[in-house]
Amino acid sequence: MSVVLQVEGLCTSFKTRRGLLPAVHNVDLRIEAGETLALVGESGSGKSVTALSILRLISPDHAQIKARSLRIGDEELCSATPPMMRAVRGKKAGMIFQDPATSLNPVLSIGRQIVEALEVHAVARGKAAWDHAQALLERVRVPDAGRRLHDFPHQLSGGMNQRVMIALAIACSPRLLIADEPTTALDVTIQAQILRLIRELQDEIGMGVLLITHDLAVVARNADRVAVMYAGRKVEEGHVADVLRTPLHPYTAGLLAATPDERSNGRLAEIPGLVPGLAEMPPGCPFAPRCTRALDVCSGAMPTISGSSGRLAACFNPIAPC
Amino acid sequence: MTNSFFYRLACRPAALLGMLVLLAMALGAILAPWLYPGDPMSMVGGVLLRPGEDPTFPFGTDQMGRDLAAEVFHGARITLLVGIVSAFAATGFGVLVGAIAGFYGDMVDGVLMRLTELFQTIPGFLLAIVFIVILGSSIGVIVFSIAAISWPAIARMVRAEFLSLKSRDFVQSSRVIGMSDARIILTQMLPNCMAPIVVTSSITVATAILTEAGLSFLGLGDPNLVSWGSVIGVGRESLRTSAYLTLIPGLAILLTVLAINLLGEGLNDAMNTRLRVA
Repeated sequence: MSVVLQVEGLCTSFKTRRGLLPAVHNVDLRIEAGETLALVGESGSGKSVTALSILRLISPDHAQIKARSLRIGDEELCSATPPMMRAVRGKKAGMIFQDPATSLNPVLSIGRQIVEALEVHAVARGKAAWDHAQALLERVRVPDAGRRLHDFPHQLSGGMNQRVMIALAIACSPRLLIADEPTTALDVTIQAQILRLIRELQDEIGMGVLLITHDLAVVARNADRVAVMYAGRKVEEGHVADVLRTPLHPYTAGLLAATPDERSNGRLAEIPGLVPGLAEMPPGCPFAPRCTRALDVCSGAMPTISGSSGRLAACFNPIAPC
Repeated sequence: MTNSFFYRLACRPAALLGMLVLLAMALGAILAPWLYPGDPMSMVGGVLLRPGEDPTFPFGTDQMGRDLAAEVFHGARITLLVGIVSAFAATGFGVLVGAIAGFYGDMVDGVLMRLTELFQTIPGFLLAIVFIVILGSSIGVIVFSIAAISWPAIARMVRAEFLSLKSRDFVQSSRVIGMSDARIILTQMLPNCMAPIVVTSSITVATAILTEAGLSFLGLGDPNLVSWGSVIGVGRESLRTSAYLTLIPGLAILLTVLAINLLGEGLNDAMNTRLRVA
């Protein structure tokens, strides 16, 4: 199987008046064709920043993005120039966002927007591009696609708009699709449809999907592997079934315990405290102040992520031996 | 889409009225050489004939025996031409400066906005007079100087629009598609501020007509051409005895400016995509 995304040692630091503040620290990711990797973590854990860094969507005026290696498909993009990145975006990697209502241009018809995407990468022009746009809308199961082409985003529902966003993202048949909380702004019944659609398109095109979410139920149903992030670091990684059944890192265990399910009734477990801010990162393991299993060593040193056969965790005192 | 746009525009009585008045003015300007052949500044009849006194001169004649109707029709050509061309030039330059400043921000924005403020702090009419005094009063210079005092307002408005559009999600998603900066500005962001640009530039046409009239009234207009302002300037000398010399071209200016404003209002509503019927 070919690798569609390979990230090694990704570090993103924001430039602030107080100096460089690391938002993503030494993250490795690898996605193969046809595979879905879920990136999980609570708000502020650096999931979205990781995704934006991969496509270099954060301006160099605001952040410094470094990596030992950053490959999309077979292209090394570690030191890519802006024109090189533009050729990759949309063509090799597509991305969809949380809120489809604001991600579409309000004054252009959806057909016009898809045609723009096709023309940017010279996939098709003029009449051919419009036909292609209609075919794309049919592919993302928008009913009556021929007429919907001339509609504006405010005339469509949230679910339909998200389908249009997906059509835009897959317009050039990318190898990688980054879905940044694609269903957060949608209601539950539409969520399932959208996720199923992504799955089906993934099988058709054979693209890898990086699914960013904080919903573990979504992870369980849609992902092959999962990477858990906390305070800008990857703290655990493995196959979905392994990670959700036998978490190694106390943070993952905490997240799982805080997920509501039908068997437990009563108070939901919570992880005490908050994610530390970028400026007040503790010296050792960033989770140590909130961790029930913390040892003395945890507040002094940062554990490196280790393990075997794709089952990794960054903890001095894991719940089960790695 | 074009049909529905004009349809929506025509549905507004005020806009329709404005459009009709403007069409009538334009028609009069276009037909002037056939309705009143020859030089409108040549003396053709008796001095200071009142309107209706001689059927050949429906608007009467001025102190020099020039046909006022010929002057008004020929003047419409110059007045409308100056108004439209200078508003176009001002809009083009203003949009360019405003879009670049708003999109790139920081240093670029700082430099361009200081330049804009430099123009804005000098009273516009005085600046136009300075340009004309230095460069001479030909029609080209008048158009240039009116454009030069009109662009800062458009630049500031476009910049403000771009500053708020820049942080919208759809601009980010255009980047994700792989669009270049120029393409994002032209195909994504400009269509989003077309409504205020069209409305402001239509008002700029009206202001330009008034400025041109003011300049001609002061005798700074092109001496070889008739415009409504210059006719008023000539009529001013006998304002108390023959008020029709200033009233008729003044009424023409009033009607035109009013029509443009009505049309601008109508355009503002008609260009709002949200009001489109599904």
